[in-house]
Amino acid sequence: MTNWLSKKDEYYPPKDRDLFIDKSILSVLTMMSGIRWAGKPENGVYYRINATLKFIFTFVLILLLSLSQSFQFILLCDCFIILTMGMLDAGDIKRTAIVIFIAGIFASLILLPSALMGNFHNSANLFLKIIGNLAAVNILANSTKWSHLTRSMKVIKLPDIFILVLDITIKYIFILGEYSINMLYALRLRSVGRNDRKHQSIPNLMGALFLKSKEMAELTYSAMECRGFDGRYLSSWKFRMKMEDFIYSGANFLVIALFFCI
Amino acid sequence: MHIPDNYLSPQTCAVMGAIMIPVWTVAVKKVKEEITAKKVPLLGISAAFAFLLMMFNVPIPGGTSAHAVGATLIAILLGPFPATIAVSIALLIQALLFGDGGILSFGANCFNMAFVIPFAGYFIYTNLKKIWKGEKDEIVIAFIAGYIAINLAAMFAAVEFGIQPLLFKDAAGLPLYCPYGLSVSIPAMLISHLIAGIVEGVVTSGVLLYIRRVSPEIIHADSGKKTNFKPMYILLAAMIVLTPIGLIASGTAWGEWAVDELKDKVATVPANIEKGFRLSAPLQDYNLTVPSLTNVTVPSGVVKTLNMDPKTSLSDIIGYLISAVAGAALLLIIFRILSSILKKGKEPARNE
Repeated sequence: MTNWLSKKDEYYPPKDRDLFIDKSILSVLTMMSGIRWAGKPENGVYYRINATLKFIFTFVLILLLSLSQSFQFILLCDCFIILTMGMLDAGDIKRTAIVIFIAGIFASLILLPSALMGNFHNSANLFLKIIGNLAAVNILANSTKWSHLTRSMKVIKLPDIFILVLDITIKYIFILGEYSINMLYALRLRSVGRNDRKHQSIPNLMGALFLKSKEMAELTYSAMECRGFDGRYLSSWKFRMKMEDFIYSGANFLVIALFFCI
Repeated sequence: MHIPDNYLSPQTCAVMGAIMIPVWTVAVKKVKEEITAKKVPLLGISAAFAFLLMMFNVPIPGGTSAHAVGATLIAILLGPFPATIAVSIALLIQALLFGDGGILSFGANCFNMAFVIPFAGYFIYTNLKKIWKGEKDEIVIAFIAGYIAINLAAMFAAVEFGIQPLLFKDAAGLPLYCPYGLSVSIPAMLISHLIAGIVEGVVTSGVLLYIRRVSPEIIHADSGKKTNFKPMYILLAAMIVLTPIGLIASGTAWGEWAVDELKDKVATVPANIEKGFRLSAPLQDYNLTVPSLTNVTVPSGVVKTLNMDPKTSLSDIIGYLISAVAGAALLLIIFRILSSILKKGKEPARNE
């Protein structure tokens, strides 16, 4: 055995900054956990409400909220949304609350000069609308299985082929997300010590991701063709109202009615 | 550049959605012609790619990072029509499932990011390529295309924001949606995108360079020649021309907002005492009402002082109901979070 092998190595890698890798990993992971965990029916009653109903009523609520200039109605809508938020699982509440909190700070910073210049009433309305709107979308996304959500788009007469593309997109966001996480980990592991050329690897990583997605698209198509896919895609859509669906619809109709009353 | 809901009026959102419908229709038709009708997975997977591209953080000098939209890149790689569809789907998923960008403003976001960027970027890229034919030039061209395209989109977004106070005001003449006119929105959007554009340009040229090196045959390149892009460019050009015309048409309002805003507002408010009185009232009332659950009659006071539609006044009962519901819901939320914290000790946390 040579001498240098038995000697203790005095190598201390210089500190390196790779914040952008961590940030990318974090954003991809957060997104993926969103896809994986969204809408588990065992989480509560609200999760069991029909996705189509939730989709339609959330859209109507957002539309009414946007159209209304009545402070009372906006407040009422926000209360209704907070109430539905209370029916979510604690993790989902936290997720939604964080989004609302960040958006709230951002919106108030944007609207503050306008409010201070005398446009207080409209700025307050706008603030409440933005918060309510964002909460409504987040509640919908967190409490509904995404495959159910894409299927529920049939009610707005979207062509089946579009729903298929949407389904494939969500699936492949997950698959390609996993792939890109691995590439980001690999980039970090292979950068021992200070690697100033690391940031140059990001475009290469994106390029590799593109090539991978192209390859996957071809494989998926071949697989679909092998299984008899001929370009038509029919998504079945069953609709049976349950007790919670009736209560949810009733509450929403009440809010809609109040839009016209107050 | 994702415009959230409520910054744009529902009317603007409807118009932008109406503009996008023919664009999507043509795009779907062209894609079917270009990429055989059955190759659906490619669309879905490129949408997934477009989505993920926006998740990558690119380091920028100063220790922070920014993300690219990548629409020019996808337009160069796949062609502008598939890019329009891929980016639209990515935006839909962002809006619907991640709350990033509004549902109502989806049309406007698609117009800016899924139409303006791919078509402008592709147009600049293909035309500059005719002038500079060298292989190294291509990287510069891709950078310029990405940079200009995203700035153009930012310009459109700024105009969409900026026309809100011109077009949508309440009875007192105060803006209902985005309160800042063009004199604020255009510099705000453009200055930030002059820097963000660099990231877009670097990503566009960097990825293109990599793909050229690794697998050059894959790039869409010249197939664009076969397709007729004219109608799309005419629409885009018309929008560019028509936007300033729309602004000239509302000349007085434009003048009002072009002047230094603060000075303008300070000058207007005292001039109109009545308006000044109305404006100060909600501030006091609002501060009084919200923290107190008992004093629920005041919101109706807000509306009455503002002299809006008398129908909008709220009865005490509804006020009480709202307060009670909000209070109960907030308690429920606090309880849920507390119980989850207590539970954590007993059972393993959900693996997120």
